[in-house]
Amino acid sequence: MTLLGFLWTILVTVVAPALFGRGLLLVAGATGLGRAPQWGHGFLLGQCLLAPLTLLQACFDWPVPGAMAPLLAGAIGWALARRAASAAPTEAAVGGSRAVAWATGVAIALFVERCLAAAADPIRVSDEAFNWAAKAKALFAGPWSRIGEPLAHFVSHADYPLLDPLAQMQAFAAAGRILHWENRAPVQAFGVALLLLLGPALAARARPVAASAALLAFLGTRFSTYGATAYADVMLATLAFGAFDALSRARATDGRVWWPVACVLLAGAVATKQEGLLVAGAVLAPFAAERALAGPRRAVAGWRRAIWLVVPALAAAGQARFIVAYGLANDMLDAPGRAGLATRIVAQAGTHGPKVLDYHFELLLDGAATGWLPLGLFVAAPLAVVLRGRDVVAGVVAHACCACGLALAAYMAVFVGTVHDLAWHLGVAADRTTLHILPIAALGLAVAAAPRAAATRGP
Amino acid sequence: MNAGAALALVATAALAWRAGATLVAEGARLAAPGQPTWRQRLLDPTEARIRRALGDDATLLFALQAAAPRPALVLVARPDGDPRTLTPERFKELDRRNGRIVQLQALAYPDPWLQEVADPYSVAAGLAASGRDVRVLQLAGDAPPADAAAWAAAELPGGNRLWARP
Repeated sequence: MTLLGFLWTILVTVVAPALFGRGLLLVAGATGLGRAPQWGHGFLLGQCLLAPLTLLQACFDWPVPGAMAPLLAGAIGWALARRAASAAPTEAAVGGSRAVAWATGVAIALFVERCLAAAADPIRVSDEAFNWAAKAKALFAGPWSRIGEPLAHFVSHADYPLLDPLAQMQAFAAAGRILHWENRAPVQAFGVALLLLLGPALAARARPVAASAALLAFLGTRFSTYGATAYADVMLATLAFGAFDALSRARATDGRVWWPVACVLLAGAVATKQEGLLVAGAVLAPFAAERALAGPRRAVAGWRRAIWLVVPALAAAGQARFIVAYGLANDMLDAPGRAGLATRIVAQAGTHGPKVLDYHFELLLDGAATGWLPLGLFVAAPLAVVLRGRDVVAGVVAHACCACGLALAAYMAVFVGTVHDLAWHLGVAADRTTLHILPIAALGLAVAAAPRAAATRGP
Repeated sequence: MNAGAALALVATAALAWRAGATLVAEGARLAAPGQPTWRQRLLDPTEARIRRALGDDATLLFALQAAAPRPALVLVARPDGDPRTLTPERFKELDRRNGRIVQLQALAYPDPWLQEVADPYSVAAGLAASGRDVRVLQLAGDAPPADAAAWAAAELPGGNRLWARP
């Protein structure tokens, strides 16, 4: 019965959202997409689109059985995918490279094994229990009219956004009760989705050996450790990479399909962690800047599509409304009796700045934490410009450098403005914040170092 | 070999080194003793997983859940110590107690909601007076209420008690 219950949870919280998102993607015209990114993007899209529905059901104290909406959405997605005439992929599963396909398969198998090992232990300690699962439990148990009390006293960092708790709530809703280990599954599935997206992205743009090595190097970072838990960090890394991939695809096509997808995934990033806003901005910035620098005609062309930016803006506004409604505060932004974050960054730059830089430099050198991926990117990209010319790094390498550089710089600034003991704060958070940009760094590094001949300027 | 190829070689070698390190680490992890069995991962019921994780405290958790179901609020004394006078032994003791309470709290919610407070008996008396279903968990070694006659006690396993205002 335990196994059946677990499979039911996976069906409702992983398979159904993936089917739904994949169906929408295919019917919208994302044809020619390999199977792996179809399921990877499909899962992310499905989770992001079903989350508001889960929240709505919770607001009304579950007027219908919790599994109904995801299963119905999954069925719709399945029908849409069948209807999409060209549902059969024209890209090979992972970009046509057998080596990368094997590396992706091995990475997924090792990661899933870790996730199943984690399942032996119930969620009971650390942020996994007190931030993420606790919030999901408080929201699910309700009643909604009285959730302010547990949010204030039971949930730690209740101001954090809702996507991770909502994904876990889907698991509770599917079972009709609070769960203690099965609810990791939808969060862990973001890690699988990330590998399904990263493998093909590497295979399409980098030579097979470098692509396979970059994927396995990435697997050896903190990704595996945090990805097997219900922490939201791999979720954010996945949504950031998914948005980066979608923006790259939008840039290479007319953007009709991929720009809206990118905006939904950016909204997902915003709805995952407070830092999501920062990461979403860092991912979007190089693409926006490139468009702006291409001249007024290109910048203005397709301006109507900018309306899709309302989606991430709505996610941010919804989060702000939730915080205000329940009188929640953020330890960094609303520290009582302390100056604002920007003021603190300036005031503490002299004392904290060198320590933050030093810590991050060591982190970038720490192979077990970052796989040398961001460091390698920041070294290899300028060298590639010098040795091979600007054309080689235009596109994905330049975008990856900018996105990673901006996100790291912004994170370091936030650490400089910390209200906590600096050494403690860096020790508990810096490896996780760096994790958010590691997949983008892995892609940028592999392409900068060993680009596939036909794809140096590709998406 | 041109400079571009050298860059590719060096960077790919560094990536391959990290990839090799990943595979070695994963191999060591898989071969390490103490890995959960497939039965523990896939077949054990949740209760068995909780018993494995909490040890003896699992019995307390299940007894507490049976004795004070939702919407009961169960208060427990917060581990408290002055950092200036804390001995290493006392620190370990408080740390152990805190670890017990937070795990019970995480696994119990919302049946019941277990909450640490500085003075559970007076907080409970106040909340009970306003009509709330509130109890106090007296862990073995904790002080009973000063006005014990005004409370009803239920025995829990391990020398623990659950107090309520009748």
